[in-house]
Amino acid sequence: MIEPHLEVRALSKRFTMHMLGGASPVALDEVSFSVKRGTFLAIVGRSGSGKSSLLRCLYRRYLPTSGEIIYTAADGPVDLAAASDQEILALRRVEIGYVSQFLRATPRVLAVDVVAAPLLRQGVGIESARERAGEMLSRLGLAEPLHTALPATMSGGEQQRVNVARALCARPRLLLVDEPTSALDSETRARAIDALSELKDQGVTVVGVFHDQEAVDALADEVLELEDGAIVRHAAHDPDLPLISR
Amino acid sequence: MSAHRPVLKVSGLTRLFGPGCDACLSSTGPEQETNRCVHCGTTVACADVSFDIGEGEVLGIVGESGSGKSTVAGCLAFDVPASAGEARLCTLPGANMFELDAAARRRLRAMEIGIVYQTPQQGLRLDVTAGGNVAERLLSADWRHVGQIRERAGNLLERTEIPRARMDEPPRIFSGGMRQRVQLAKALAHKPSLLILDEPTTGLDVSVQARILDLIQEIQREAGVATIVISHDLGVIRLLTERTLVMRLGRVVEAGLTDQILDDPQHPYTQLLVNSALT
Ligand SMILES: Nc1ncnc2c1ncn2[C@@H]1O[C@H](COP(=O)(O)OP(=O)(O)O)[C@@H](O)[C@H]1O
Ligand SMILES: [Mg+2]
Ligand SMILES: [Zn+2]
Repeated sequence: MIEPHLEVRALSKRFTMHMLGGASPVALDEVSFSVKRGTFLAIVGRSGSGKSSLLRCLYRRYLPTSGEIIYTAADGPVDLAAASDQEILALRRVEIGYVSQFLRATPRVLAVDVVAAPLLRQGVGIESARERAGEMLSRLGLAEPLHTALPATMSGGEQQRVNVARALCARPRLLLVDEPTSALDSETRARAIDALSELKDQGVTVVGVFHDQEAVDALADEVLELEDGAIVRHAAHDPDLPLISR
Repeated sequence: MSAHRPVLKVSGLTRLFGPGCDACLSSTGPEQETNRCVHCGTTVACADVSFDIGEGEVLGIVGESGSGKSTVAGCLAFDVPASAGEARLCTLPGANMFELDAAARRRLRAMEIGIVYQTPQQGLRLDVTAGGNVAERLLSADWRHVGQIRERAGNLLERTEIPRARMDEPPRIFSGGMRQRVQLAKALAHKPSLLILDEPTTGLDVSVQARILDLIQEIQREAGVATIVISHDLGVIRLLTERTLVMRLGRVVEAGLTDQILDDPQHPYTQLLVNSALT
């Protein structure tokens, strides 16, 4: 039996908005599911159904209101909902990657160094970090002259490739991706899907929010559908079913 | 889980300005909406501030003006005495920094703590040459060889983008951005184990700010020194830090991962801060 890599138990997320008289909208309502190691899980659902909130809770960009997120790290299980900030930072450094929809680039850092940065933090030497970063950028179809350009001067699609490259290059054991391909044109999207699928072959567990059928068909082992913060479906991916069931 | 080795561990740091009385702490803070004790008129500049910083970590302290951020920095740099609390530096095992005698404090400050102040007047002697300002710091850390001191000062100034040709000019004739970069060179001179940046870019033009923030990031990547960044500007905090404390009226109201504080602030005051920064 394969142990679950990630086990989410009764995870809820409510926002208490003090400026709105303490209104407390619910983003996730007692969500439970587990993901086996090496599984590619696609999160789907209408806009506002809680997909990004779920991903952000897993990365601890959002603070879960209640519930547990048991993650099996290299040296044992840890509850991501309760772990200390420093534990989370250590996991982000070596095990858990996250790709947002957009890159937030720092002004004076070259693309290749943006991608190499997580490797340096893992202790990889500068030369080999840059080399690996360059290879990944090329794989994602970013022309070589752009490797030493500033992301701030690039198009949205080019920036997003830098963003995806950074996460893939760090070789996380769990990768969280939030619509990583939505800012890409169709050719680049195919390359990104290719790179993600190689990661999957290497046994990386991926949990990702996707809108396009193409990406889900190419990558997903399982699909988890959210509606109003609750799971309405969690099953093996069936390409004959629509992504959103109702 | 890899063990987290704190470089600095602060607990219960408190600083009062005034005579103090039994009711100072209970009558001040965010719930009381004041940092002034109604009973004795004391200002509780900061109270019960606790945090730690690991090797290579950058911790932010954010909050509006008067919330006590600089007082925390000032206590750690021995500019003002702490009224209560502890601070332990890993290079001085077993000792509470605040209980050291004057000579030991001066020594610790010279050897281990670098600070960049918001105003260059606080951190530099404006009429002494830029090189001299850095040299002074090296001398107080027992550097003796004049040639080596000059070489190190020149290198540091170059690293902070002050041309070597200008190291014999006084900061008084420098621009605001250059003065902050001289402060940075001075703060880094003796490879401190703790670096404190108190509003390092506040009051500078946006383009000058950006250049200094880039420089700080570069140096952080190279040197990896444990750093406290103090700012009222969430943009600076987002750029430079991974963890953040939010202060209001002398108290820490929220502490967390910087991206969590910005994306999912918990305390009413933090929500206000984040929302007003967005609009
Ligand atoms: N030397 C001092 N004497 C009296 N009050 C002081 C002194 N320094 C700071 N304060 C008071 O302490 C409080 C916190 O100030 P400060 O630490 O400078 O805040 P910040 O750096 O967050 O702007 C303020 O009310 C300030 O007026
Ligand atoms: Mg201040
Ligand atoms: Zn009092």
